[in-house]
Amino acid sequence: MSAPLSVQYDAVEALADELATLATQLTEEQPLCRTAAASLKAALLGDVGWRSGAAAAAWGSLMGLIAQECEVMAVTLRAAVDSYRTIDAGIARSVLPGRAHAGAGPR
Amino acid sequence: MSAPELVRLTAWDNGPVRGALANLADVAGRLPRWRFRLETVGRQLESASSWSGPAAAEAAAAVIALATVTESVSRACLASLSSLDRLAVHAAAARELAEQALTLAAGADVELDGDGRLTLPVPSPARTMAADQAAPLLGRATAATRASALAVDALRRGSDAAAAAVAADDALHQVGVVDAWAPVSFADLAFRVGTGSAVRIAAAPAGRAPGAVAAWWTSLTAADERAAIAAEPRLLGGLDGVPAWARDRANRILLARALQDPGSPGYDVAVTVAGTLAGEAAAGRTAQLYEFAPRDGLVGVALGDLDTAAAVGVLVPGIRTTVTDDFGALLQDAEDVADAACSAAPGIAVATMAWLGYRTPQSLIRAASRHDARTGGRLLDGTLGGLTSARAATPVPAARTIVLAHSYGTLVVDEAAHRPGRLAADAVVLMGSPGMGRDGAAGLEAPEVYDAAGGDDPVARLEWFGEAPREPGYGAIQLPTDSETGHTEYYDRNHPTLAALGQVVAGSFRPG
Repeated sequence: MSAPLSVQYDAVEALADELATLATQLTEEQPLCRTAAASLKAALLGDVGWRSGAAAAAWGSLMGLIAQECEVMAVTLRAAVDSYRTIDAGIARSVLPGRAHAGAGPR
Repeated sequence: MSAPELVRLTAWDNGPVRGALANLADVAGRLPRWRFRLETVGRQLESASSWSGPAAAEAAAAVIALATVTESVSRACLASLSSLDRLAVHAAAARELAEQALTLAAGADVELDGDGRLTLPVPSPARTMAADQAAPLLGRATAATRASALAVDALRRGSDAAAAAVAADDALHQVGVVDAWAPVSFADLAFRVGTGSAVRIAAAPAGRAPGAVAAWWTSLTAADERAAIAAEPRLLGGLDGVPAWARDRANRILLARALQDPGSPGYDVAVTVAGTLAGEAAAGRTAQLYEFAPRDGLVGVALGDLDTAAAVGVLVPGIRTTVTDDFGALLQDAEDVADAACSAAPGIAVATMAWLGYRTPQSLIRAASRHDARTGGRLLDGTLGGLTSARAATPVPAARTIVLAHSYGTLVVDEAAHRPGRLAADAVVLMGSPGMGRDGAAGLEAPEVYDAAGGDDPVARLEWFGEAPREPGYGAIQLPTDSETGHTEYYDRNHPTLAALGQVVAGSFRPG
């Protein structure tokens, strides 16, 4: 037996919204990390400043990657809902002429 | 001029370092919340309640992988931050020591090399010198020696700071950061992290306090959590401190196994529970199988989400309650209480659990003893502690937790309160109690204690096990009943107690 397929558009879009919100909030962490990196580099001269600043900068890069993936998933979920809607509408259109034709027969 | 290494240490500026670390600590502090929210989205997708099919399964797996990576990044950043904190301490000390060393060296007119040693020996006073001639030389030699010692310490603390900086960088290696370069893409990051599980279930703290279990659980990545559930559903399904969603999944695995063996003990319990869960699913309600030990006839099913609800009610039944005969009615009571709470506080997120987590006495002879209540009290205490601890380990605010105990179930609460530690409940409701311990409402350890004694309930007047909580001296707030409220009718919609129970759960009850 094939697996059931169902989708609640609003619910999936709500999940997409949550992922998009997360993406935005995670993106906002990046400047904080970059500022921290610059501060560390400036405040600790030499290799210590460079290394610690680089670590902080890497934090920002990691936040950025997670934020990007959140956004990708949000877009994917929205695209899935759009696809389902489009396919469903297409099927409805292909079914409709037959029904209209059937309805137009002798009574 | 002393060594530039020392001079450079005096230029380290600790104020901006502290500010930078405070910013990073804020970021690290928020990471668990991001991970929790991602996992929540992943679980909703996994549940297939709003989207099912192959694409939905792929999406759920992708979001869970994202949560797993976020957890790994969170851990790496925390380890990195720990090293940066050490760096700040060493850097501050290095600067202070270097300043003292250079000040002393300048006063003694000596220079220090890159190892903190004196570049030239300082002459000591000759024995033949007069005291007034020897004193300045002696003072200079002492200052020079002290300057050198401070310089050595300063350079050592500087080296420690450098080592901490390297460690801060190294801590990020586990998430693919190499020489300050992060992975170029999320796919690369996920590959470096590995979104599969390497969980060792042996590390699960079985037999430990719920708080320790909750801490262990939160240390797992999303992938580890799922691997743990699949590997040890029997352990996790009943482990207090594990969140309800995970216990639900583990117990549903056990339920599926139990249903495969019609001849096994507890099969009838499994069939009853399966039917109950199917009914809830068909009605579109969230149900969590929090407790499932079919051989022992112990089951707990919650309506609503125990992990996120603002108010959690735990219904503890009395004698002769069994899963096969009574669970449907108990769950209906739970639903009615939740509905009453929603009526009292529209919009409130409520979860109510029909908790048949102890073996109720099956005869009056057995009911005359506290034996089953003691066993049940231990289990109820663990359940309440588990609910509270699991919630405390997440960013979700604590729930208002209410125990609603009926008849012999009130003794179970009494015994639970006598266990070590405080009862993890904000309110206790006693209904039709056959008598309680002699230490009054305060002995139940809950900030709020309520009692309901129906006009047509002889059990509430028996005082078999001690003081009747309906007596003013007991100290419980009386809930409304009427003259026709019988022993089994506190949850009935036709009597006034149910609405009051809803208000108690919602936290809005005001004595008339």
